Amino acid sequence: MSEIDKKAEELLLALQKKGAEDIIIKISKTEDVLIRYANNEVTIPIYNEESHIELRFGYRNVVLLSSINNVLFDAEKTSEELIKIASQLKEQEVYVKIPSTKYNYVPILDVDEETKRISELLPGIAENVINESLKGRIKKVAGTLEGKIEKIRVITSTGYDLQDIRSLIMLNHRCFSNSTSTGQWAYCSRSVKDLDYNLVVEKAAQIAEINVNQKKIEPGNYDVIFSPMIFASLMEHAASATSAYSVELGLSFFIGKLNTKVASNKLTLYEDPHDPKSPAYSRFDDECIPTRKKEIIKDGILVTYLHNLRTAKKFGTETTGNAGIVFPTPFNVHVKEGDYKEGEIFKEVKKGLFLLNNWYLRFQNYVTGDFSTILRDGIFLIENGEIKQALYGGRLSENYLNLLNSIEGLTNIKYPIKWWEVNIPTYSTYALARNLRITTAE
Amino acid sequence: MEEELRSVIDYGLSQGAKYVEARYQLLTGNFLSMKNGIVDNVGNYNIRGVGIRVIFENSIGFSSTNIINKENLISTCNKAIKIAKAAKKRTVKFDSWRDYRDTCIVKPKIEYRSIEDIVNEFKEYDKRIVENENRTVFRVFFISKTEEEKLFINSEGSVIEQKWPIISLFASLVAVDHQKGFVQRFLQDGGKKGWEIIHEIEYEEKLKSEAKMLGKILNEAETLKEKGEYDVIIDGEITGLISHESCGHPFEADRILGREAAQGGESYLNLNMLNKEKIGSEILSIADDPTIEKASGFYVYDDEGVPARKRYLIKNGVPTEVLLNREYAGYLSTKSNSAARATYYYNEPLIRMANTYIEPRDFTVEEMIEDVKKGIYLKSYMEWNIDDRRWNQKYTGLECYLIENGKIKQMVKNVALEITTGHLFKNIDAIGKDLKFTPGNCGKGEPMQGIPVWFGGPTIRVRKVWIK
Repeated sequence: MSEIDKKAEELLLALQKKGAEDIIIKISKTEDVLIRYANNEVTIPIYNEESHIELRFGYRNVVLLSSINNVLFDAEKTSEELIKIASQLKEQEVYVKIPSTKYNYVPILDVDEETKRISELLPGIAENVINESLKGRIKKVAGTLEGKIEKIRVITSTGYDLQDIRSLIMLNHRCFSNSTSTGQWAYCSRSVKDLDYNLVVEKAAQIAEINVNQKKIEPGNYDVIFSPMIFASLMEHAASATSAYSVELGLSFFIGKLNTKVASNKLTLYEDPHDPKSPAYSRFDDECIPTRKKEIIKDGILVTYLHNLRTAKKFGTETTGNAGIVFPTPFNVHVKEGDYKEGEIFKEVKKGLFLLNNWYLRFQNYVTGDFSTILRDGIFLIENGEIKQALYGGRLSENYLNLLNSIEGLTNIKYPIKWWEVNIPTYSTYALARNLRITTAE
Repeated sequence: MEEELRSVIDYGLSQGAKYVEARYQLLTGNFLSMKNGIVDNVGNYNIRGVGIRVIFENSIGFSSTNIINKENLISTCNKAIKIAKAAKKRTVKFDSWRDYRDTCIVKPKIEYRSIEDIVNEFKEYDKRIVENENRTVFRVFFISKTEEEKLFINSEGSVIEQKWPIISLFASLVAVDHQKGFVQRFLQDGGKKGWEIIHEIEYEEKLKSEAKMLGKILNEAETLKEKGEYDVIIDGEITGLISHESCGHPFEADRILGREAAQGGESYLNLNMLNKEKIGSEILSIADDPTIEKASGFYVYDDEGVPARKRYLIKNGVPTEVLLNREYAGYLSTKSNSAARATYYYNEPLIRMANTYIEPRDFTVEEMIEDVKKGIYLKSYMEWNIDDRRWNQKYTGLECYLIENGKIKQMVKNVALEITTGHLFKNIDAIGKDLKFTPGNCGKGEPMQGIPVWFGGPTIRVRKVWIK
């Protein structure tokens, strides 16, 4: 047993002796390899190892949280300090006991042998990604290749002692055919062998090569084809806004919208923590509740908020198994595929835009859902179903509910996306949406 | 700790590394969040570890650990060397600095209160908000106190210890009127100081005034009838953000030279423009200064052991200096200007802003308004974003007024200033003397490193701006 496991068990006992209950201790041991590259060469390779404890417990119906990565902490002293803080608090809105039920969980998926060798393999893969990209008209590439293996153990005062192994391989790649002609694509998987870096290189390079001779975009309302990159970002924000915690803080445009139509009936978003190829594969949430596949938005209807035990009690419902130590969140986001083939969906646009990517999505007001986001890495004018002209300088300035309701079609293949702007692994298609507002700086 | 870190340096050098540095960091603190006057989350944290960076055979490598003993630190140093060897990289050469031995400690004037006292204090603030605007239905506070200790040692002989307290205050207020809609306000305050901040910023008065303002916006703000060209007067809350987004970020050398191209992007600025090309009005000067004591971006030495100094990014409309770390200073055959910072021990130091601000001049706000026939006065904002070359930006106003013939008239809502950096900087014709700073958390890098900064600016006037 490792040092931090021993410390965690000591802390559990020390807290119990002092009257704490409903104690959850999550121990994570992470190995993380990150290769950053730019200007066609590696800028820095990073290797991090980390052990970390996240803790939650109740004391006289007050919940306290703690985050410890100091592996030499003194369990007795730490428990005293925590109880001292908890004893100063008199009330919390909702207190909930953690369960002791014996659940059935999906099996632990071990990390395959190739993925265990991330520190050896990733530098070479990064080199391949760079070299493959430079074979055509691409002059410059930049990106990040990351591999992470996380071993998790959760112990509780109610008798759980659960283990899980999670892993992530993520590639984010940007190609430049000149200083402002860019294309970008990202990918995520659970295993090194599932990383389709050729697809990433091809997609990013293809866009960068046609993203030339740009003209300034005319502001106005357009029909739009979203690529999986930007649609993943937009759908990740939508799924995150279904967290009951966001709803109760007034940071969601889904307040009061449960079981109502929030999107076009073409849109179904679901979460699948049991997908064995997803970095989000998880047996249990941070409250030891089994994870499960679930629809969040079904045919345009918001069918559930995402809950932990506390928000479920407050909202008078059951937990959805989405607990983090503090608040509920989706493990991953899947856009249910539509019927269109990728070539066909463009034919639905007489005059409109193809949008590749975005960044800097900000809300004017989370409750109303008014937002804007900068378009990047390819804005193209579509005429009669064909890409005619590369454009620059656009911003999608919209209302989220309007955006969700404007979706008219989805393609039949999903892409696994995760990068800077998409924190949660999101499986996204191309999407067709009508009449969206594009603005530009004067 | 110095002895353990010294062993890393000695070991790295013995293995043939040209340069070795070890950064120890300890962060301890408490946090509390409250929702509508009721405690939501309370907790503490204790983060401790060492980041090791090496230059080995002209390649750089970084590794970190939170198991701090000599054996494991040496193993971590080995991992940094091994990964530097595995990933081929262009030749890295740092600029040259002498060794520094220093200890810098900031002590709070007023110690952080007990959690119980803070809960009681913020319950009162919550009541004051409701008393001043009872339609404020969502009220969220997040309060944190951190003690940060850092020890930096490198193979050139530097040993630098820095310690400070960090207070962070965040509030989110949403006021709802069933006829008039929703209005939302986020407030961020903080610095490397103690609980005295609550008095210095007159927090209770600030919250009362913000609540009243939300009510006023709900009651009085009307949609701007006529879109078009206006003269715009912009408060320091927004000009501070402009100094950060439109000057600070594009003046980071790593961004200019493409290192951040896949994430944060590049820059409209190139190095040939320095001291040559005018990019702003004659009266526009922007500085970044880590030596402003007790500011969120305050430090005495950066995370590469370089002594902090003020940087003039733009002087009288002309770009004069970019932000540098040792690697890019070496690459450009110059000296670092102390802009390297890492959020946590497990992050590589990157080129970061500290406290960026537009330098004040001599106008009063009244003088600026007097000379406007048709204008908009933006006092606060709700939403902003900017493209990845830092040229095309948008600020959507929260508290905004129409100006007609030198007088403030109707309050207006959803006014969007969507403008290029070039147009904005070149059309500034008046800068106020009312410099103010607002704390923020600047994001950059992979993995994302959020780092505390201050944004600073006085009120400015910009002529001929297209308002939507």
